[in-house]
Amino acid sequence: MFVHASYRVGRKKRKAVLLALGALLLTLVVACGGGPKKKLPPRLTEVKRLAAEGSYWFQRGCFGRAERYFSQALEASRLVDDLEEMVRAYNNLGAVALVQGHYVEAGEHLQKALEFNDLLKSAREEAFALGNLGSLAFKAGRYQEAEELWEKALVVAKNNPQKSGFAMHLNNLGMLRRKQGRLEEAESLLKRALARAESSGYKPTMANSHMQLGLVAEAQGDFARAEKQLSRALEIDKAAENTIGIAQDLEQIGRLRQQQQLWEKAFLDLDRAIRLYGALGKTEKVSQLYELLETNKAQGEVPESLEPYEGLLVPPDDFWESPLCR
Amino acid sequence: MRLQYSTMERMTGAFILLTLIVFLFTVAVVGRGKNWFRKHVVYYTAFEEGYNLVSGSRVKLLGTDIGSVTDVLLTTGNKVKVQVKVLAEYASRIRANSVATVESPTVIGSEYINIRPGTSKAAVIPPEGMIPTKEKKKFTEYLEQYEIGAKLENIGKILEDLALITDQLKDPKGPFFGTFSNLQQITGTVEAGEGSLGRLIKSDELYEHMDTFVATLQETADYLVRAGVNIEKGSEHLEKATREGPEMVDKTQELLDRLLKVQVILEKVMTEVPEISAQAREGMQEVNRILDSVKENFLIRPNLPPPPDSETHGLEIRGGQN
Repeated sequence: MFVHASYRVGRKKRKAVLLALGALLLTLVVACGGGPKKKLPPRLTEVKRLAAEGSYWFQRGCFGRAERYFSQALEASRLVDDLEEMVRAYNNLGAVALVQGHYVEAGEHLQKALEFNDLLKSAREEAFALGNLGSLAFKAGRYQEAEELWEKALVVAKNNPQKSGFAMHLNNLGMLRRKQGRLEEAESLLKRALARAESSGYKPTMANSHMQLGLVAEAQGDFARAEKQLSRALEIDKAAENTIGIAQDLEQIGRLRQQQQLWEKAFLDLDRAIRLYGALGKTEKVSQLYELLETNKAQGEVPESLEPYEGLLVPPDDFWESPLCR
Repeated sequence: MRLQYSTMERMTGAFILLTLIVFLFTVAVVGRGKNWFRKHVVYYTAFEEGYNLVSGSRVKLLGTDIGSVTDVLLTTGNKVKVQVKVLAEYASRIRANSVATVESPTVIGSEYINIRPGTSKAAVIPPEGMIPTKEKKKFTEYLEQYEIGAKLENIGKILEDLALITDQLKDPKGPFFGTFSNLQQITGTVEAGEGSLGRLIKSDELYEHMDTFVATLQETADYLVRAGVNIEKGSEHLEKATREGPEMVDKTQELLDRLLKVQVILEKVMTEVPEISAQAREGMQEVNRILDSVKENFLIRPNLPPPPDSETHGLEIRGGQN
């Protein structure tokens, strides 16, 4: 019986092709497949999306917009009775009300957060609620209460495995000690805060630690160290694109320059800061910086005129929205 | 024993098979366009002349292609017999009182047979039957029909009359130039101050009387104008007051009408807004569903960014001036 030689070769080739195809398929399965990922139910996914959106705007300094998303997140979490997201939403609403100066509202939200957290028993959320209540007390001028609350928050945060917010509470306590004139204590707390923030990689807290350290140095009369710390804070905030943080850093650098009587340099920083505050609609801060510019003009003849800043002093109406937040 | 084919043989076989398939496909496509596979019915017609008809000339019914000429033959009786095939679906319209004529295209193209359908009461012509015909008219027949010769004669007469009239007009003693010289004589007499009309026009005394009369008239008119101006001023004020009142009322009314229109539009828009937003929402939901299904694709899923995670925010006191 005659069998063509190519027939035997063909069989070998077919085997090789099949093997190659099998290997390719296996590679594809390994590369693209994997086990099924844990998928959240749609409502809870929506809650998390709203909360994340709120956080995004919060970090950009767009508090009105952040508040809307946090409110929606709260409503959505109520619909599925997700306690964790509800407490988080109350905490965030408290923080956003606080930063806008709505203190009564902030207190109500934060108390709600603590109430629901009694059911949830989350050390993380409790620490944040206590810390924010401490900030509320500080804003109201009740420094003793603020200190107690921040210390309590610090203890709770320390017991939390992730130690979330630990650096933030340390920063707040360090700031309080600085204001009380206990500069060495302040410096120690702030350095601990910075180390913790650096290990967690949360840039706004890192920037704040540097800023507070700069202010301690300024209070100690070490302007060179102060400038270095404040410049580092600005650098980190710029990297994080933290708009409100950038404005605050520039303001502090401007103030430092004024202390050093470097009027021209001070003007350049204050000009940038006041314009940023204006763009964010922070009228109170604009007024403070306008006064600084007035001093600058009287001392250093810069700026030549305060007219360009007068428009920023007009408080925005209810329908005003920052161009940075659109 | 198994029959073995070499690769070359297989490829040749495949090529021939492919060519055959392509050929059959082409035949099918062309045949479909040319109605090769549709049923036809054959008829005959007979004309006095061939009129350039050839095999393949088109056959139309009310100007629409329904078939073609398949053969043109000369009969023993010196007539031209034309065989046509017509699509079977139109055969029922070719009846005993149908008429086939040869027609020429207006500018380009070749002659074709146009069939006028018969009435429904007339019997249907059976296949291979004769369709009645009507001969194509010749040019001379058209001339006779429209009496072109007589009409050309009339035009000749009209032209002759026109030549006669122009000759008469040119004659210096003719009716046109004779009347013209009479007119010249009359105007000359008037110019010389002769005759009643000439005296009237040329007399200075009459002119002076006329001048005085016109001056008096002018003065009277001036008085009247001055009096009129005063009256006019008074009436203008009165008019203005009476005119502006209704105008203002009209304007107010117009403004109110416009406002009403705007209100109506707004109300309409407001009723439509929920519907529009509902539609937009539905659209977005649809898009979301599509996106969800895309995300499920095994090639895309691993590359998707992780879902956003919510975080808690604490307020850090920055600065410390406040």
